[in-house]
Amino acid sequence: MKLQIKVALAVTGVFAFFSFGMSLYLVSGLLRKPSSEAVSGTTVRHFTLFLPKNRNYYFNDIMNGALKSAAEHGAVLSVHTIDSEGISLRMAAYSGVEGVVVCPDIDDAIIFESLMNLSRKEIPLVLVNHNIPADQPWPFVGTNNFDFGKKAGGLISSVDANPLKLAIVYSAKSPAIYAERELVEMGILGVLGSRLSGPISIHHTDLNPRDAEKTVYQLLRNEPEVNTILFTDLNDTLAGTQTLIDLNQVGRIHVVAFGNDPSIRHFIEMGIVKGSLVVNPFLMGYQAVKSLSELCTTGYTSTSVDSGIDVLEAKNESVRRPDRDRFRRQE
Amino acid sequence: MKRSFYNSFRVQMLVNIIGVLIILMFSAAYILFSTIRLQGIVDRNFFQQRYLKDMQDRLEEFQGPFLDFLSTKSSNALSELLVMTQKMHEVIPVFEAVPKDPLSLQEKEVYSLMFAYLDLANTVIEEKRGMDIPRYTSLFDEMQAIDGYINREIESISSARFAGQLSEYERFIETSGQIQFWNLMFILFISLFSLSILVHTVEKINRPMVNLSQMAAQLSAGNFEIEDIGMTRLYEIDHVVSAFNSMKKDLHTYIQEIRWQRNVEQEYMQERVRNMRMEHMLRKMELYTLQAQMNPHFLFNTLNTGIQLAIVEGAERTGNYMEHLAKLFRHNIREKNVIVPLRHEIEGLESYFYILNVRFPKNLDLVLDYPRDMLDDYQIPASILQPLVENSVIHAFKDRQERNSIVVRVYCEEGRLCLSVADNGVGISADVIKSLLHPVKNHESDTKVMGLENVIQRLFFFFPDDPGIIAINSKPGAGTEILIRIDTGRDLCIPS
Repeated sequence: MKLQIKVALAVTGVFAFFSFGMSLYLVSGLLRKPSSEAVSGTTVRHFTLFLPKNRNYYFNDIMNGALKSAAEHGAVLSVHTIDSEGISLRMAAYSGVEGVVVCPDIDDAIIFESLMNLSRKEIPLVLVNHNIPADQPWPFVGTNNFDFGKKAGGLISSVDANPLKLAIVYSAKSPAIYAERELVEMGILGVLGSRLSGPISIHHTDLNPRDAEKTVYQLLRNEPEVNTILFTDLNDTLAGTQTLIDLNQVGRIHVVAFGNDPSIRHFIEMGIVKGSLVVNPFLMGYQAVKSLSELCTTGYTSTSVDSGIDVLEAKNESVRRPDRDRFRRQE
Repeated sequence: MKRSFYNSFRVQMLVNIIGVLIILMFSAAYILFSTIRLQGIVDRNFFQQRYLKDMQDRLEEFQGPFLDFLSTKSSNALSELLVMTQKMHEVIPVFEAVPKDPLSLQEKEVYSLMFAYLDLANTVIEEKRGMDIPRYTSLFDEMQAIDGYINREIESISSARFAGQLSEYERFIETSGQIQFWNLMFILFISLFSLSILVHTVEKINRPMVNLSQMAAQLSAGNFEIEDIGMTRLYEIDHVVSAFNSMKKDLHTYIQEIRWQRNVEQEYMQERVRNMRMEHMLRKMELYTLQAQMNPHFLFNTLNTGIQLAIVEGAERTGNYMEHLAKLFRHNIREKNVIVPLRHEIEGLESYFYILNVRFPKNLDLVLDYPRDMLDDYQIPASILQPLVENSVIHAFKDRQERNSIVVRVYCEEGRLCLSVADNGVGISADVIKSLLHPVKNHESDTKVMGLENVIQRLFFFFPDDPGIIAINSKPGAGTEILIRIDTGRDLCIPS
């Protein structure tokens, strides 16, 4: 009897203690839940990033690059969308942020006043993706679209077509290129010169990722003399090239693509696409926050940071592929 | 056992009961604590939402007196505005560190916008009072834009938080369910644990009582050989146990003493009975002797006359015979002592042998073998040899044609005086020997005990503690030896 009581004491004691421990562990786990934890340290800054309303992979890459850069440069970053009236950007002057990165949308006029307001309040500002004509020394981080045009011209010049009739498909999904389309075309003309048999045919796609399908179809119907197409957006490239394959126009129509994607690399390997122009939005976002941090810390930074343009061709595609993964959008 | 505070029965009972109560109170308190904490967690999750909503409501309330002032320039509205502005400045949180969480960051921006809104309101009030109408209307538009943006942001934060809290709420419900389960297990096991403690305490107190009860039952059954009850750690109970053990020992001792006294009395009574029987036998012997002494006087005189007549007539052999007969009678009759020297017994036996030789000259050989130097050294009970020889003469040679012999030997062996009477007669059966050596005691019988049986009984009387005082070695047809072995180092129980 004595032994049984001792065993009962030990067993119930152990189980009671275990149950108590489990309950306490679960309660403390709930209590430990972090909420709105603050960033410790004295150098933490509050930056904000304004992106266009149409969020696609391109702007997401910019955002991811900016967030990474903010984390590395002792800052936190809030992300806002530029609304159609530009109110959100206007409110940045009142929101207590210490620096603003703006990725302007197509309509520069709407946001220009807000940017001026930020400058008046001496809030550091960095533009990313494409520049806005102004007399303000706002630092810019993005691609040099003239250089983009030259590299596109270089690829087109290798096309075995005579006479060369070029069509460019701009996209609302790549506002930076569209905003500075004159620079792009000047770069192309600078390279191709008299090889072009006529004026460049200009086309547009909207935010619909499949919009290029319709555009290419209409282009082939209305302008049968076009034998080379330059795309300025990844989704447009995929949709347009697939349309050409479907219409059995491969070989007759030469394609210069935009972006780095397994499908595009596959098209390049198959010879369907001549080559691809690759910009790096992740690097743009990263550099923009880095420049803003420098501006806040030292008071100055580079006025213009070129994020570069890569050319993806069959001869160097396999070499470039691993390196590109670092800057690929997160799928 | 050392008497200490904790060894008290009452203290241990009190400590155990209070301990159990404390355990149960603690477990109940913990359950209450965990429930309150769970409520607190739920409350905390919605606290930021409620606070943000409260700020939004305050900003909404602010619009009333603000518009009232702009419309009427009422001093009451102004004072109300100032009070509200002051209060809002006090309750709008100021972030000392920059939060990392995107929603908290957004919340920080909203609070900054609220401060900006209030600052603009002050500016508008000043411009209104300064009658700078374009300026104040422009700022009022900006305020409206800020207000709209704040509301939009708050809605955005609320929606995002709500979406985030849905999954968190599921986790919370799951975790709280687990907490309730483990709390139930905790209550269950802690109750069983407390019950075990109580049972252990009761057992601890009850065990000595049970032992006492069992020992009392054993004692009442007369078993005093049981072991003492072990001590506990409770001195009150130990006192009872100690007293009980002591009582058991005392009872045992008393009962042993009573038994010993009873044995002594019994032995004493047996001794007395034996003495009385011996006295009775001695008196009977004296009576026989007295009876025998009455006629012997006549016989003596007659024998003396016969002896003188034989001498006168020249019958010398007849004279000698009668002289030995007279000696024998004289020896048997005149001796009154119970214990006599060995010489006396031998001399009587020699006369008896002379007579027997005269009676049975042809078929009976008598041998008396003894060392003469021993005759005065030892004393023996009187008349123990002649009855044995007489027994052989009467019973041993019935229906025998062979030559008979009786050999009496006296010698010392292993500190004992040995008296041996051996014949070559018909022998004695084992049953008879057994009945002779272990006679059925019938003290009330008047049967005359004579001869061999008389000698045996007397020897047992004289030497009650020596069962080997007499032995009969005999087989049917092989003769009989009766051997008396007297321990010379032992005193006779009856003095001579």
